[in-house]
Amino acid sequence: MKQIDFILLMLITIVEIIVLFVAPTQTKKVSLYLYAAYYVVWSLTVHARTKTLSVKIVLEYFLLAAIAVAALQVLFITSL
Amino acid sequence: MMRSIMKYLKHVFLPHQGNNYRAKVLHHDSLTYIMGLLLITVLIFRTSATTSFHKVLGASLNIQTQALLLDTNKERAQNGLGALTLNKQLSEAAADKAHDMFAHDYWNHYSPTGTSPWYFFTKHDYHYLYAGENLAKDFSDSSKVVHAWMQSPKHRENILRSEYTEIGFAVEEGILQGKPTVLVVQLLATPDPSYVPIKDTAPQQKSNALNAYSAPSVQKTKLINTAVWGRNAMLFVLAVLISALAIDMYIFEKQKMYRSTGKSVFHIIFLFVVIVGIFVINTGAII
Repeated sequence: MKQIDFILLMLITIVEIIVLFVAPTQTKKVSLYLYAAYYVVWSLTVHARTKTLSVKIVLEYFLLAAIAVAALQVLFITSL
Repeated sequence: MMRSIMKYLKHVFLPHQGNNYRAKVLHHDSLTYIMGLLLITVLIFRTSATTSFHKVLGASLNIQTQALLLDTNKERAQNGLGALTLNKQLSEAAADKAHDMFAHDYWNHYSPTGTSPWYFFTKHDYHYLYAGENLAKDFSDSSKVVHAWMQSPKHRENILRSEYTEIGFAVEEGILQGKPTVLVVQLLATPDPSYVPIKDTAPQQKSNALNAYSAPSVQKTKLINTAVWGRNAMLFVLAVLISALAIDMYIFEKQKMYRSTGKSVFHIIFLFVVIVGIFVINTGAII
């Protein structure tokens, strides 16, 4: 993995955390879904570049992102 | 018994030969089960809103107009402003506005038919020099509503406007945009002293005193408070995954073995951000 990949993920993560603390509620919700989507795309890009991409890895990232999205859905529905 | 429990926990959380050097909870089938369980939970809670389950499951609500008034006046006092008095006409106008929002299914200051917030003031024979409106929905507690308004510059400005002397609240339940919703309408105003009502009867005395009028509030305690349950359950699921990933990462870093899986450290960062989101997101909305 190139150092730039790690820096890019950290940068987006920091931006996401800032958004979570300062943005309006709706923006926070949308940004979390976008962050999950970015995470999957980022990881697949990195694994593809290092030629370590496989169905197993794609499924792993996809399932983790799906769990995060489902957890957020439960949270938003149960809040009221 | 104890031995078999320990063996099972080791299989679930520690990478070893028996689980192909990957904690069982991180295997694809386990992750799929977890996701399936979460989706079933989503389905149950979505269904409960429209069935009799709603009486048992749901967020416990406690939005009291008196508490809203006290919190609003507390914020004004902290900024050197005078207290607002609760006005019956304004509270009735606020209730009318909330009913109109449910009837025409809109989340906006202006209705789809073009009705402005000011229409409800004059409809209830309240003539004003200055007037303002704050709206909130999906909050479970009075203090959170006022806190959210104070965090927003426009709503804060409305609450802290020195010209206002009277206030009205409505807390109404209904279905908005297909979802069970509790609306909070706050109307702030300065009465027009030059207005003389053209009526045959003697002018009604305004009931400004706190005890003279009490606008309706919403207080409900559910058998299962899904707001608390949902948050804690989601934090638990994510914490279990992060713990398993952290153990996995530690053991593999020590053994320096190659494995064709995703990077645990990035999974941990990702799930940590989601946990931060669960902590900081205030699900209510204001306009």
